[in-house]
Amino acid sequence: MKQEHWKEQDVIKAVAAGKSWGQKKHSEECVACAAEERWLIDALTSFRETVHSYTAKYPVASFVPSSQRLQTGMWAARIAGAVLALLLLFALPAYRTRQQHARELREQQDAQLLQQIDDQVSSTVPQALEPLMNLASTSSASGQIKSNPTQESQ
Amino acid sequence: MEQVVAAPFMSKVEELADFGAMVEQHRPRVFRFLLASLRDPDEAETLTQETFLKAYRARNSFRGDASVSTWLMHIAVNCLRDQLRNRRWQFWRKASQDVDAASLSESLPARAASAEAQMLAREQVQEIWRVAGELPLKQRTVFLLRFVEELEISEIAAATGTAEGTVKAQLFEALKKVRNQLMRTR
Repeated sequence: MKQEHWKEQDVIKAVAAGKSWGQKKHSEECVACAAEERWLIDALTSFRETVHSYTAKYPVASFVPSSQRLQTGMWAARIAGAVLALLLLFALPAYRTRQQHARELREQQDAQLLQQIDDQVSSTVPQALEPLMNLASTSSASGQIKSNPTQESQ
Repeated sequence: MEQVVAAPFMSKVEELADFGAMVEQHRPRVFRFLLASLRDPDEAETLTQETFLKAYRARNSFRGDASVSTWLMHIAVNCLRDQLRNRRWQFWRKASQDVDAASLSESLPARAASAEAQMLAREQVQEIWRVAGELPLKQRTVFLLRFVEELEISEIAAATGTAEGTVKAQLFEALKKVRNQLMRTR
C-alpha cells in the first residue's frame, strides 16, 4: 500500500515536535517528503548556527552579585542624600522666616506690655481709684473755698 | 552544537553551590536567548545580569524540580516579558541599535558546498530572523527555545509555564509562518 505525500501541516509537525512511527517510515521510503523535511531542517540549522556564531562575538561580562548589591546600596544612599539636601535647601529658609516672625511678634507683645506698665506706673493713682480721686479733688476744691473765710477770721 | 550539561554525579541543587561557575556555564545560553528575543545587545546584557541576580537571590528556594538550565530560562522568560511590557512606554528608545538581518547573516558559518548555496542559506537566515521578529511574544519564545536553544517540548513548557499541548500549538503556528515565508523565496 502506497502512502500519500505529506501535506504542509505534516512537514511542520514532523519538524516542530518530532515524527510518529508512521511518519518515520514514510520519510524513509518517500524521497520527496524526506527532501521537503530536510530543506526546512537545513534552513533552521543555518539559522541556529548563525545566531550562536553571532552572539559568541559578544564579550562575557562578569557577574558579581555582592558588588551589584553594594552599588544598589550606594545609589539608595545617593538618592537619600539628595532628598535631604533638597529638604534643607527649601525647609531651612522657611524655618528661619517663621522663627523671625515669632520673634518679632513676641517683641511687639513685650513692648506693648512694657508700655502698659509704664502708663500705669506714671499715673499718680491706680486706674480703679480715679473716680474717687476726681471726687476728692472736687471736694478739696470746695473745701479750699470754705476754708478761706476761716483763714480770714483767724 | 552546544550542550549545557551539569557535571556528572552533581545534584541540581549542588550545581548552584558554586554560583560563579554556574553563571559561567549558563550565561551564553541566557544571553543568546535574550539577544535573539530583544535584538538589542545592551538590553540583552542588562537583562542577562538581571536574570542571574534574580537567580542569585532565589538560589535558596531552588528545589531541583527542574534542571538549573530550565530554571534559569524560566527566570529569563519572565524578565523578558516584564521588559517588553515596559518597552511600550519607552518611546525614546532607538530601534537603530537593534541587530538587523543582514549583519546577523554575515555570521553564518561557511559550511555550504558552493558560494551559491552559501548565499541561499544566508538569505534563508535573514528571512527567518525577520519573521521571528514579527511573531507574537509567546510564539517567538517557543520558536527560539526550540530551534536556537534546542530545548525539548517538556523543557519549553517548564520554562514558559505553559502546558505541553499549548507549546506544540504555538510552535506549529510559528513554524508555519516561517515556512511560508521561506517558500516565497525558494
